[in-house]
Amino acid sequence: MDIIESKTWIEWAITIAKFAFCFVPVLYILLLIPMERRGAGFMQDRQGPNRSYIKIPYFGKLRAFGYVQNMCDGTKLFFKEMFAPAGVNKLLYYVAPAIPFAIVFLSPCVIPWFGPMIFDWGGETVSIAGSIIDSDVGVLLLFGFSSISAYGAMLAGWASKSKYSFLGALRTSSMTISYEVCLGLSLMGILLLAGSFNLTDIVQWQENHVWGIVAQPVAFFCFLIASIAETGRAPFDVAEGEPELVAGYHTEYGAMQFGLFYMGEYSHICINSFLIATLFLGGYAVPFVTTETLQEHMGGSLAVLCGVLAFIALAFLHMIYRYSRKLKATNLTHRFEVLKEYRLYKIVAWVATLVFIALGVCAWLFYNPENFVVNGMAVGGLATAVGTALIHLLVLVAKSLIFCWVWIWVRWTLPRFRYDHVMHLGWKIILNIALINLVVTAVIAKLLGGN
Amino acid sequence: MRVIKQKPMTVIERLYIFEAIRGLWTTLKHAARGLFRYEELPTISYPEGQPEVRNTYRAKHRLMLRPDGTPRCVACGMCAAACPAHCIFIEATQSDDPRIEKRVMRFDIDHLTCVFCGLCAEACPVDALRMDTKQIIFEHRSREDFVAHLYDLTNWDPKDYPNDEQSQMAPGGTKNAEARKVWGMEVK
Amino acid sequence: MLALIYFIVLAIIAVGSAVCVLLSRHPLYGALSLVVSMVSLAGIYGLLGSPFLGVVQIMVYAGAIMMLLTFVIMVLNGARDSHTPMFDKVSLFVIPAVLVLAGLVGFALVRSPIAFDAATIRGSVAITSKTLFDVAQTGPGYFVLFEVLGVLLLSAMGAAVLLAKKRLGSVDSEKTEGKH
Repeated sequence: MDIIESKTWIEWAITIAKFAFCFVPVLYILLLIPMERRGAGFMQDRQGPNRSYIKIPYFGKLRAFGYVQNMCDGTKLFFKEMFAPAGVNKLLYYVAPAIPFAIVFLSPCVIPWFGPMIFDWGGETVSIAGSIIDSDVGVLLLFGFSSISAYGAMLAGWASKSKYSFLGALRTSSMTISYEVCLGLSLMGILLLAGSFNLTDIVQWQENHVWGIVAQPVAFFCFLIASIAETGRAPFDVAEGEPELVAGYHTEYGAMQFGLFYMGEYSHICINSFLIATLFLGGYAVPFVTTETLQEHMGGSLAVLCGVLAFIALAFLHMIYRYSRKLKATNLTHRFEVLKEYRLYKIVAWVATLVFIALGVCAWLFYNPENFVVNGMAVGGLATAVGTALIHLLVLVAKSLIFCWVWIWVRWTLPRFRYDHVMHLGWKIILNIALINLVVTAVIAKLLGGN
Repeated sequence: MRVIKQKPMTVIERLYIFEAIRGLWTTLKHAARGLFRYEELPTISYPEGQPEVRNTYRAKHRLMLRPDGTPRCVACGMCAAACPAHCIFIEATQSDDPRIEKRVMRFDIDHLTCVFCGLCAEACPVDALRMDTKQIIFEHRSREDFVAHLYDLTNWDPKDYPNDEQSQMAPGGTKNAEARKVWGMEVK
Repeated sequence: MLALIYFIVLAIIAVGSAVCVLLSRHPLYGALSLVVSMVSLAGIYGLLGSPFLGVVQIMVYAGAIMMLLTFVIMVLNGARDSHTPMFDKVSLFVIPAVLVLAGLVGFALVRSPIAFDAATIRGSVAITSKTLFDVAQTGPGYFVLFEVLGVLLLSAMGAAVLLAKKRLGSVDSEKTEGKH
């Protein structure tokens, strides 16, 4: 087959391995749900769910800072009976929750997870794109997917044969249509500057010039608000406003069908935060350091990365030790149990710290792969390329986590808008600001002599 | 009629976005406190940590004792009369002490009916009934167990009330001997 | 070869769901079949080397317009009207016309010089923008048509709003407006 022979095996291996990124949103759910629940607790001066535990041999009750609670809840959802109320449209009722969740696996394919991997392999230069599909139409594809995923909510509401679900579905669809427009228009400014729909090109433009948030601050705010509205989260969750519509479009759903909607929502948050990080926060680009510098000093860069990770582990240790000290001083009857559990975290964190420090030192001393210059471009070996990709990926994840936090933060701070206020904000304010921003950007770009 | 005039919103408040950012800053502070100063959260992790109960809290009742160990109650029935929930049941009998007319034979308080208003403690002419035990947990297997009898009401430990002189005079209290001397009884 | 297999699968889905649009008695099922048809058409555009058109198809038609249509079907409760006979006397003229049109289009497509080749890029972003907005003298001059179309759509929208406004201005609507 020609198509197999057109690439070397290493290219095929990396290309296929990239499909693992399809599961990133689903993995993010595991991170976002505890973040949301404990974060919401802390914001309201509560402790958040933290009582479930697993008994393990030496360390006693393993609570994992409340993480076990989420596992319990997930298990409960998974093993509950699925049922449909009488009179529902069976086919659409069962298909509807699957739509947003299926789109979740498609959406990550256009996001550049790392810069293009260019390396020397057996005498020839191999180039692999950072996204699964390196297409000219990247952002548009993402928007297309996200608009299709709104059908899930809509069909669910219609098929449930419930007035509350139906009203929720109507609100969802009208809000999605309205805010897609704002989303697209506020994005146009940065697309105009970068001159491409391709997300990799946009990131490279930001790497060479400035980050999108500096070049387009107004568009950033519009995009942030519109994408929060598009995920249907508070303060824009009129579609499932419990004072008015029980639970909106998923009123009639229980068990894992509801779970699919829930996971679809969180994955949507994940995708949108990756998108904002890519468009406005320089994507995978490391702040203040170009990719070339990174590749020239590969060992040093990896050492810095390990240092950062070791610092995070040390900060975690500090918090554990500090809290252990405070806990000992209280008269809680279970304090020794908790301290015994914390011994496990201390061991893990110390081991992680030492491993990261050792790795960093080793990388700094021994990991200095050579770079070749081919056609005036520095081309490293496979090792350099993989190291760069790793750093890029972690930087992108760190940036997206900031926005995931913004989603949760906004949800637990601002009260829900009334429905007409949402429409007013979308059509009369954000849309106009985005339009003005686009015109101003176009004029300035023309005056400054762009293309 | 009192009309509360609302202050009209200023231009900056009407823009919403700045006020929203102010709100976000507030919640961020609270979230940071929860994360970095976890023990400062007002939550009490209940079964392991007990809430602090004040002296004035109207908790479970107790009957004060004379130094010789008999209840102070003179079975006048004022508390039962004052009780709005009718949860106190008293039976009186002849007292052995010539100075005192009656003593209680039966003193029941049904804690399932009790509204913990504290009127009985207020009504008591001899300060026999108090509600300062600080016991806020009522946990029994059957309905009958919720009825506190004379034995339950008088069976308290003076060590739990170190700041109360009168409780110390009760049997088992540290000032028991002097108190009995004052009362005019032999000291064992 | 691979592209041909993809094409056949997508074509079957597209045509099948298009037939479903005609045959389904339920307006909502019809709309959903139309969505499926449009998404598979977008796939065919992609196979033909025009990903931009395909994505616009998904975004605009499947995403926005069909969403609006479904919205309207839901709001007007059009699902109730499912007792209209599928065939009546008008069908005598419509069905032959549709068949003739399909034959004509098929004939034109078969005779057209476009070879089926997935590798050639025909409608990428760059090519589309160049074709549409080439303002040079030697260019195809589509940009004038494009702008005229834009103005036409805008005026159509304005006219629609005006028509709706007229109905809004009637006695009934003024009464309800007064309540607000």
